[in-house]
Amino acid sequence: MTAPLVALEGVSRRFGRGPTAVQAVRSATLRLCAGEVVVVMGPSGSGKSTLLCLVAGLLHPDAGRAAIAGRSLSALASGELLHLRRTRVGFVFQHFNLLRALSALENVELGLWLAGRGRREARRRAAAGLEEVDLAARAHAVPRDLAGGEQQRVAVARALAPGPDLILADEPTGSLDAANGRRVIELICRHTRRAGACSMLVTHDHRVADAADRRLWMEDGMLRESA
Amino acid sequence: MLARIARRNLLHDRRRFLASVAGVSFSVTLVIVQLGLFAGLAANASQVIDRSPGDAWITGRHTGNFQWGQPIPRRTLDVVRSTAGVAWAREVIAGWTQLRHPDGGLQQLEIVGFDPRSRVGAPWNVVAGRLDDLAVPGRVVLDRSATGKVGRFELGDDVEVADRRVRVAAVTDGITNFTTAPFVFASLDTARSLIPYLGSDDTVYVVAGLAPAAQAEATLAALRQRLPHLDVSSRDAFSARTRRYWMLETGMGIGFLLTSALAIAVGTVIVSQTIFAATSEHLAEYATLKAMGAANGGLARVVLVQGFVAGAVGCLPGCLLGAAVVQAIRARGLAAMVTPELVGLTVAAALTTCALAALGSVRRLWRLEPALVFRT
Repeated sequence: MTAPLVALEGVSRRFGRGPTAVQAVRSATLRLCAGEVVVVMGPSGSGKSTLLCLVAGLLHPDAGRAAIAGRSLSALASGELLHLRRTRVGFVFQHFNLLRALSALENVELGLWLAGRGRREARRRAAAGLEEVDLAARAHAVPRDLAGGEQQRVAVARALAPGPDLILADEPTGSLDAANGRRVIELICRHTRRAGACSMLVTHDHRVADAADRRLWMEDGMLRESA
Repeated sequence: MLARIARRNLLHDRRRFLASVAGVSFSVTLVIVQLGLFAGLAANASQVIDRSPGDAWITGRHTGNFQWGQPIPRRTLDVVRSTAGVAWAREVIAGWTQLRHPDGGLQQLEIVGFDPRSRVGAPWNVVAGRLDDLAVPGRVVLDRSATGKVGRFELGDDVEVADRRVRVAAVTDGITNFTTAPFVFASLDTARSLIPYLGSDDTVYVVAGLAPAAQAEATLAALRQRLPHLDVSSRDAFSARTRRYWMLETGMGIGFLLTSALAIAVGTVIVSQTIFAATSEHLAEYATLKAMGAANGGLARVVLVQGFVAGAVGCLPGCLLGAAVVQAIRARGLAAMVTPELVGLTVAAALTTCALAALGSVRRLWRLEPALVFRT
């Protein structure tokens, strides 16, 4: 059996204290292997986004252990954690989160620059990334001049261009029509399988679930395999 | 890349950027005008000292400035001349008198008496007549700027000073008095005769040139020992004391400095508010950058560059406008000046405060939770 790229073991996370405290994630255990696309579904407020944050190291667990490529996130210094996110994690958001003042090409370049690529290489790879999502012709457009589907494809290119091991997507099709949604999922799945990465997609969209290798269900902070 | 984000963010919110630039420009203009007036008045207050040859000024005890000189014994000149290390010594007289207008009105004047042969305490920028003609008793020098106070005059005209008729033997341009009372330059004897409270055995200042090889401090110490009832100062010290008296002890300079500080504060608040608003508007983007692995230091640089660019762009029109206003003030005969040092100081202060203005936003970014990106 191959070692998992992502491993959560008994991870819990609570917000607040006293009677108003909310237990967002309860003793979650999860393994993501290379080439695997996993979706997490569940009602709003069930802890899905918190789970993504815990996997990305954006939040520290109150209990349990989260690891990427065998490295425990809690054991990493803050600089190491930042480096790990820059080089090994790609993010895709429901509302795209592109930098409004930068062009499509520069937004993709940004991910590469953060991952430590030189300026020239970043420019070259960003152009290739846009080509892969069929947006080479829109390279110099700023986000407000792009349609929603185009913006999400730019965001996907930004996440995938540095070649991450782990792609974390929060409702990646939530703001898209069916055709664009399908396109975005295809791009993520293709990269995951081709690059031997793994993806964790939080979604309410059953079409996304159909494209995944594994489906997880989350409710009241409890994570379980879904049929 | 971060600098590019900073620049693009500024240009993306053009209206806000222009408001920020306008705030800095206004602030810099005001500071340059205030400091220009301050520097001009300060230089004006000590101009006779600064333009005279000589290394030491001997004055009455506790003389705080050139304008309020007190009578001292004239024999002081001999004591100074006979002190080792003194190459030469001359008298300079400064005192107050009145000009009587033909209609009977009175105008305060400040008489400066000097030896026309030595030029110690002499006027400059002579545009008509000759200083040598002051050797004739009853001859004076007036400045063009005095027209408003003493009435129209030409070279060779007579005016009534201290109930005596004196003749204008030379005219200068641009010598205005800090106290606004016009300067009247004259020979020592004429000056003495025009200052009612000055006796024939009185003088006001003795200016000494020290021998080049002499140890200046040692000579000043020797003069102090020989003249225990008088003040002995280097030229620079007396000049600085005069400026300090008028600018600080009278509170006038404090007013200018406070206005300058206020102008800087206004600029800082404007820049701070616009950068803070811009940062708030881009908060989701900064959270995204943090989630993607951007360090706090990098994000701080983005905001600091924004403050710095707004400051730098605002400084240019501010300096030009400030210099133009100062020139307009000078054209009206008032003391004001813009020096490279003054501009440099203003620009440095503006850029520093713009960077400081960005610190509030930096703090906000440092506290920003990257997990925010998954909660929208």
